[in-house]
Amino acid sequence: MRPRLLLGAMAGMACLAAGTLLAQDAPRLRGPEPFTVEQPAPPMQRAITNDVRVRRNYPDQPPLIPHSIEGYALDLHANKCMSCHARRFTEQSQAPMISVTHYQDREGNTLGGLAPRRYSCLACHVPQTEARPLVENRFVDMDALTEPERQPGGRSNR
Amino acid sequence: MDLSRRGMMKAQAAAAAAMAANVTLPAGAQNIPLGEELRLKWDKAPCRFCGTGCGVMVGVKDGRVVATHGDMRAEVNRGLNCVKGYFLSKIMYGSDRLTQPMMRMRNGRFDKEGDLQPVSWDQAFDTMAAHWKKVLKEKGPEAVGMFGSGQWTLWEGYAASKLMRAGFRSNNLDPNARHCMASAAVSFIRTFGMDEPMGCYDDFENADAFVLWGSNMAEMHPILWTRVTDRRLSAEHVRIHTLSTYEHRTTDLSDAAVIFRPGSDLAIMNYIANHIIRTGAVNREFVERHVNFRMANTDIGYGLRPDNVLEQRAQHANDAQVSQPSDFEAYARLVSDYTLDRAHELSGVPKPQLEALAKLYADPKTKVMSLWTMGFNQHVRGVWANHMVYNLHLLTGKIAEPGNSPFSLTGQPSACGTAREVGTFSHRLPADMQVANPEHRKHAEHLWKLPEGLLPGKVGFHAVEQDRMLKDGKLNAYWIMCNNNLQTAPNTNNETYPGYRNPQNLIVCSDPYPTVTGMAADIVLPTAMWVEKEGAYGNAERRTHFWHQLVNAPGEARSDLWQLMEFSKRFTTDEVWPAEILAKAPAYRGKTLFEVLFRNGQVDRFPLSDIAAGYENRESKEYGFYVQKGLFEEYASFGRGHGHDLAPFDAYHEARGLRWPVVNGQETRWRYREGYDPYVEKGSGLQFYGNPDKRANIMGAPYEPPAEMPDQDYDLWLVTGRVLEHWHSGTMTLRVPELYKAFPGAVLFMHPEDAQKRGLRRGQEVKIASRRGEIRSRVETRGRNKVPRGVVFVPFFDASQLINKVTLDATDPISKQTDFKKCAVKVVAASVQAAAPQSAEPDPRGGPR
Amino acid sequence: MPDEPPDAPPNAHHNTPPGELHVSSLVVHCRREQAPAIAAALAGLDSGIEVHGGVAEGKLVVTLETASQGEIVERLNRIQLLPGVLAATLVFHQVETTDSSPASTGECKPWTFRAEA
Repeated sequence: MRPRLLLGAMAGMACLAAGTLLAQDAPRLRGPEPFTVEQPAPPMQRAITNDVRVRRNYPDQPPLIPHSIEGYALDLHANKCMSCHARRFTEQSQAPMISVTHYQDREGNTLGGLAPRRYSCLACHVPQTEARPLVENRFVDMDALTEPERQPGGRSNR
Repeated sequence: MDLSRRGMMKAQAAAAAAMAANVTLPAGAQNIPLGEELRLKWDKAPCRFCGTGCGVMVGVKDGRVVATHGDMRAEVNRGLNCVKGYFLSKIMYGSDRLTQPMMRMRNGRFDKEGDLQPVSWDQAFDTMAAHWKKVLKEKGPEAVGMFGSGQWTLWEGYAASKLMRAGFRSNNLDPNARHCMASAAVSFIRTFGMDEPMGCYDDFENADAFVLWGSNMAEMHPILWTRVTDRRLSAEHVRIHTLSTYEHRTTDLSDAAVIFRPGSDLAIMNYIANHIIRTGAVNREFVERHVNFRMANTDIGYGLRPDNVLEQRAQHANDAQVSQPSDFEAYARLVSDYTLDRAHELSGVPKPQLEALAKLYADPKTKVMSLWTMGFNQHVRGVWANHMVYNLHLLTGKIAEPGNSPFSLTGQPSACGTAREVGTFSHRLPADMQVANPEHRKHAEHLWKLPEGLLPGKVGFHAVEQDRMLKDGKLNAYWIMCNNNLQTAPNTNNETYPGYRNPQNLIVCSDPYPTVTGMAADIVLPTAMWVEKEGAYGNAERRTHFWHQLVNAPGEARSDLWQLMEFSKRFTTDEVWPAEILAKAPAYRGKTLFEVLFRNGQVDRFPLSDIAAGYENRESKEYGFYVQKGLFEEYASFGRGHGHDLAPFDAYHEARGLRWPVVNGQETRWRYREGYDPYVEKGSGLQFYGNPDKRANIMGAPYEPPAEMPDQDYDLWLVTGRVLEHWHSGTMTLRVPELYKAFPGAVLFMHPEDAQKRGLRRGQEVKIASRRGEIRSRVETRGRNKVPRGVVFVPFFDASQLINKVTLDATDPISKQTDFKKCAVKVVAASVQAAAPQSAEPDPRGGPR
Repeated sequence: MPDEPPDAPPNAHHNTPPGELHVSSLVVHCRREQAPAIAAALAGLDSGIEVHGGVAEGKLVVTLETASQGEIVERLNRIQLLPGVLAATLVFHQVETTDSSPASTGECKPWTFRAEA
C-alpha cells in the first residue's frame, strides 16, 4: 500500500535532523514502518541504582532518584522516602535532606516538617533506567551560555 | 567554587524572588558581581501538558529556554510543577525537530506513493490548495475536513473554526478533545444548559470528602492531587474514596480503594441515588426549586458503524440523545432497582464500601467534591455517567458552593478553552452556540460580518466518523493539526490508517516532530510550539491564561495560526462560496478568504504598537497588525454579556489567568450561586441560568453493559491510559532524556496469577490480541499499577507498541467519544524464542517504574 | 561578597556533608514603613544574608548563603520573628558541592513517616 516509505522518508528526515535518530529506536517515536507491520517489543530496561547524584539541568529541576525504589510504601500510613531524606534521618542515611522549599505550605508558611502538599515525592522525583535516549536533546545549559569556557564542549545535558 | 559561579547562583536566586514578589531590582542595587551576561529573562506561561493549567516561569537566555520552574504567583499550583512540567525547558529541543515542510515526491512532483522530501512552504501550500479546490468543486464542502486539538491556542482554534465553517463552509472540524471529554461537555449542556464546571479548584481546600470516579489523579493530574492530599493530610476528618477498575498510585493514598468491574460504575451511582432517596436524604427544597427530571432513551447502541449488529439490534441507536420530561416518582422507581445487593452483584464491590460511599453523599454535613476524567468520559455510556454524578449532587443540593462540587477534570491544556469555549467541535460555535441552531448561525454570521446563510447547519463528522469517512472515500482533503491521531484513535489498523493511505485522499499533518501520524501523511508541516508563539489556553476551572512569544521556532517551523491564515490566502470567495450567497455580499466578490475572515476590519484593528515591548511576535509582524489580539477580541464578543465574559486582552498578559465569566474585572469562582456569580438574580439564592427555566436536569438512565466483554476466546478486559512521565502519545516527553529514561516503554500490567496461569513471567514478550488486531509488549506484574485478575492495563504513549491497533472503535452514542477503557483481549507468549531473556533480566530490585 | 563560605553554626557539622554551598532566596513581606529598618537589620543579622531590593514595595528580596539546609530554616525562622515582618517566603533554593568528594551512601533504616502538619 505504501512502498519504499521507510528509507525514503528517513533519508529525507536525515537531511533535517542530522541523523541523530537511530533506525532501531525510530519505532518508539514514529511507529513501525509500514504502520501495519507487527513490531517486536523492546526489552525492559534495568534500573539505575548506583547512588550517584545527577547534575540538574537548571536549579529548579527536582533531582533524579539514583537508587531503587522498588516496593517503597507511599501511602496514607507510610512514606518510605522520608525514612532517609527527612532532616532527622539524614545523618544516619547520608541521603540529601528534602529541600527547604518542602517545608512550606500553600500559603508560604514554614512548617516543622514535610508540607503535606509535598507528600507525593514521585510526582516530581523519578528514578532512571539504563535506556539510551531515543534522540539527542539539544537543550543548552545556562552555564554554557553564561560561562562557555567552563563547559567541556560548550554544551551539556547533564 | 569560584566567585563568578557563586555570584551567578545568587543572581538567579534574587531574580526568582524578585519575580515572585513582583519587584523590580534596580541594577545598581544588586550587591553582586553580576555582568549582564549572567541575567536570565523570566516570563510566565501556562504548562504545555494537561488540563490542570499550572503556571510556569520560563527563563530565557540568548534566544533559548534554559530553565523553568513552578510559578509562585500562579493560584493553581503556587510554585509546584509535576515532573513533566519541571522538564518543559527541554521539550522543544529534541534534535529531530521538523524545520522544513515535507511532501511525498516522485520525479520532482507530488506523488502519494512517493517518499517524504523537503519542499518549500509554497510548494506544500500550492499542492494542498489545488487538492482542496478540486475536492470542493467535485464533491462539495462535506468532503474536506480538519482534525484539531485541545492543545491549540484559543486563537488557533478560532481561526481554524472561521476558515472551516465560514471559509470552506464545512463543519467537518473536530478536536482530539472528542476522545478526551466530549461526554463531559455534552452532559454539562444537557444538565445545566451551559458547558464547564460551576465550581473551581478552590473547592479542594473546602471539601470534606473527595470521590474520584475513574481518575488516577496522582499520575494524570499530579498538581491537583497535591491539593487533594494536602487537604487530606491537613484536616483529620477528610476522606478520599477512589473508584477505579484497578489499583494505582491514587488508590495508594486513598482511604477507600473501590475496585469495580468495568462499566458497573453506572449501577453504583444509581444505587447511591436509591440510597439517598430511601434514607430521606433528598434535599426536598433544593429539588423542588432548582431541578427538573427527565428520562433518557435507553438501549442506545455503541456508536459503531451502522451495519454492526450491535447497532442494528439497538432500539434507540439513531435517537440516543433524546430524553423525555419525567418526575421525581418515576426517577425514584427507576433507581429503586439498584439495591445494595444488585449494585454489589454487578460491580463486585464489597457492600460495606458501597454503603460508606453512599453515606458520604447522603450526609448533609459532608461537603463532597466528585472528580472524574477518562474513566467516565471514555465510556460507551459516558454521558449517562456524567449525568448520574450530577444526579447525586442535585438530589442533595451539594453543588455550586465551596467544597460541594461535581468537577470534571480535563486532559489537555485547552480542552475547555479551545475545544469547548471557542467551539471547535463539529457541532459547536463559540460561547456554547450550536451549528444546528439557525439563530446561533445568524448571530455568528453577524459578528463575523459575513453574508446570511453562509454558515452550514449540518453537524460535521466527529473524530471517529472522520476516520471512517476517510476510509470510505467520502472525506478526501484532511488536515491534522496539533495531534497524533494515528497513534491515539481507536482500532487504527482497520479504521484510521486505511483512510490516510486511500489514494483519493490528501492527508496533511502539522507537528513540531515527526510522529506516527506524520509518517503516514502526504504532507508534513513543521510547527512552532508552546513559547515559540504567543498563546492562550483555557484550563479545567474556566481559567484563561496567556503567554508571550519568548523564543523563535527553529528553521522554517511556523505556528498553526500562521499556517491557517496563510492557507486562507490561496482561496477566493468565488471559488468556495455559492453564487447566491455572494450575491448578498457583492463587495466580497473576488476577495481572498484571508481578506474576508482576517482582514475584516475587526481582526486587524489593533496595531503592532499594542504588542508589549520586548516580545517577538512573528505572525503579527508578518501581517502588520496584532493578530492574536484582534482574533481574541472578536472571539470574546460572542460571550460578553452572555455568561461567558472574558476580560480585555491585555489583562490576561498581566494576570496568572482569570476564571470566566469576568465581569467588571472580577473573576467568578462559583457559578449559579448568588454572591459569587453576578449573573444570578438578587434574592434568588441559586439559578441554573443556562436553561430557560433556570433549573438543572436530573436525568434517569439505567445500567447498560459495555460493547464488548471478555469471553472464552478473549478472556481479559483491556484498559488503556497514560503514565505520569509521558503525556499522551509521547511526542514531547519521549524526547526529554530524563522522562524517557524514567519510563522508557509501554508494558502490559497484569495480575501475577493471570501471568502464572498463562505460563508468563515478568519481562517476557507477549502478544496482546483482540478481534481487531494485535501488538507485542512485555509483562509487568509489579510496579505502580496493580490490576485485579481478569484486567490488563497498557499505556498508549509508546509508538513501538501501538495498543490502539487492538482497541475497539465503540463510542458513547450521544457524545461520540471513544471508549478506550473497555474491550476484550487475550494475552499469549510472543514465541518460545522471544521468551528467552534479552540483554538483561530486569533488575529484581529496580525494574522499570 | 565574602570569599569564604560563611561560618557554619556550631551544630552544622553534625548533619552536613562537607563542602556544600546552599544559595536560597526569600521574599520578606513587611510593613512598608518599617522596610528600611528591617533591611538594615537583616544585613546585620549574618554574613550570608543580602538584601537586593524591594524596600519601596515592602517586599524585600533577600538571598541567603549557607552551608546547610538546616541553616536556611533556622534563618527563615529568625527573620519571621523580626518585628514588622509579616511573612518570609522561600522562593528559590540551589545547592552545589564545593569539593569533589563523592556523596556517601548510607544504609537506609526502614521507618514509617506520618505527615504531621
